Amino acid sequence: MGSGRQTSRRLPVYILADRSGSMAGEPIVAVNQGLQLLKNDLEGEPRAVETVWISVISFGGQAQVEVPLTELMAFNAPTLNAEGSTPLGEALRLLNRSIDNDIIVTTGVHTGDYKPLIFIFTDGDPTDDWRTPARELKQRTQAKTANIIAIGCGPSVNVNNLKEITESVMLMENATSGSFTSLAIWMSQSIKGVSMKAGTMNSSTGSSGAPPAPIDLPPPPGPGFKIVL
Amino acid sequence: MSTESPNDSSGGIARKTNKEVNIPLVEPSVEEPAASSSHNQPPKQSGSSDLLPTQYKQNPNANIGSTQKSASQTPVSFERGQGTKPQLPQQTLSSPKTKPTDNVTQSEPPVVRLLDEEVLQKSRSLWREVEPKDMNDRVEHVATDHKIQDGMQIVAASRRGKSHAQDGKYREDAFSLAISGDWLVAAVADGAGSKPMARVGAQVASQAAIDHLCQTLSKPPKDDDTIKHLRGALTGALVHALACVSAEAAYRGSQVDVNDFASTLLLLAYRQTSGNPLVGIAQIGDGGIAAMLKSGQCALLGKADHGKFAGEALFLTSGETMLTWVNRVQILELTEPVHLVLVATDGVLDDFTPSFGTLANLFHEIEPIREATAPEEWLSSWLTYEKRSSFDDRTMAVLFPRSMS
Repeated sequence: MGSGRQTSRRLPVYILADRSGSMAGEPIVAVNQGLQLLKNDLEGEPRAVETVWISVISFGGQAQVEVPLTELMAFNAPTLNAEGSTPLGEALRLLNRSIDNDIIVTTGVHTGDYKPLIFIFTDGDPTDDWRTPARELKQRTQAKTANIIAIGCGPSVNVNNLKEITESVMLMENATSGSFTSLAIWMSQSIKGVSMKAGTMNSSTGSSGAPPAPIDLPPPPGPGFKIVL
Repeated sequence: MSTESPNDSSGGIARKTNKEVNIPLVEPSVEEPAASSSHNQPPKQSGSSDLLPTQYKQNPNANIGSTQKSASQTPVSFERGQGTKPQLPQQTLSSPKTKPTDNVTQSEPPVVRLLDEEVLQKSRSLWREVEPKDMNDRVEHVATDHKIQDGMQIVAASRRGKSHAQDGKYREDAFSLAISGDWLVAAVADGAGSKPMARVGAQVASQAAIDHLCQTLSKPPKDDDTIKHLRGALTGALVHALACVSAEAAYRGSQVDVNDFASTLLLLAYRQTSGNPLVGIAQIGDGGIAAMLKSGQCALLGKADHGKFAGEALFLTSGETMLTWVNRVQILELTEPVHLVLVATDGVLDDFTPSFGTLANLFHEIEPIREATAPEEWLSSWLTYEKRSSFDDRTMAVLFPRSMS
């Protein structure tokens, strides 16, 4: 589990971003701008400044950790390029491995990180074996060791696939720069909301346990977004 | 840190009544000040800090009521960042960060770390103190109390945390202190963060518990059995606290539910007689009660409570708590006099132990209270320490011998 100790409790946030060929052009530019906007917005909330750590994993052709788990003030939004297929499975494997390596679990003797928040964004069907790592990831939500939100964009996305990963699925109609701006702000509000609650909730919201209720997400960013029930 | 399991370590700090069970030593004796935190320099003064409310700034020149005997005189900045040794050169906020390695390999780029102090510099410019708009059930942002009884005194302070200040909410921690004959008693409560009437629940629970303790302990024990009497008083105090909280909920009508008043509850009753000190404690929920004895030995008394599912919070009003009263009360006859006893909410305790230091560290930090001319002011000021990711309400009650003048 997590390497060593931290000097303060962290709220880890993982962002999995689809940068497959279909994202080329305006969409990937908007994603990059969205990540920057996310960082800038979070930096206005002191609880996020102190607790949020962000990692970005991208998948397009290959999957890689663009940014390992980094504290907000040191986080630089990466510049993603769109190309290739959609290896969601590989990204999920990287995510699982990152969580196992990064997260400090709360035990009886040691208070660890807050429950990680994971956003998975995709605009199409996965092109690799994704069900195995997805199942492993979903088990984490069931064991209440992570909160996962999937965001599917455009007409090619498969909602049922996303539902296999998590119960919290939101659909985005268009991949326009306006939509990504709204999405980025929505993600920022979600993260801020969790950081605000985490610091005052009783009895450790560490990653090995959970407050009984799921996290409160803000309402969908606007027209063109809908939560899948 | 379990104190329940008996073991053979000699020098246990207490004998459990009616059984010769040694409370295992959980902390080494403190020989000298804990070396882990270097508090000698005040934190860097950032330019923007002058615009901030003063409550949460460290003012190294403040000399609030403490006579100067120990090295750490003023409320210290709890800076752990200086102790970390990152693999990489430290970077300040203004310089560009290392770019992640490019996408070809899967090896992870090195992680840039910042000092906690750099992060705090940023958040300091963002913290605000907002007055709540809700005019019902108002609670002062800071409260203190101090009671003296012959050779002992008990002090408490409670402060609204930065998070509630940011959101224009009230303090949701509460405490109550009292003296009843030979007994010094304290109650500390932490209102459930998600509940609207949490602050009322915490106030009612802590006051009701103290009322009951005083009432019961002021009467002589039946059959002259002080231990049973104390156990009954503490158990009764938990039940009475729940009854009063429930009554409060009922009084407020059908729109509210007793769960809206959920809080933790921690109780301490102390009596010094000719023999060894007698200590009774009761605990529901998180936070903790701890003692440091004259020899320097430290231990957590009782244990923090979680629900059935790991990490789930447990409260006075939780269904699971019913019928567990008996297990939550512990009576201890200490083997030597106390140096310090504390009761604290998790807003303070979690900043120290178990994750970021030891109980001995915490006791060392509050040592100056013993010599302070206005110990409740000293404690109130100490509770403003700055620590990254720590922004909950903070409450602590401290019991210690009076220095004989």
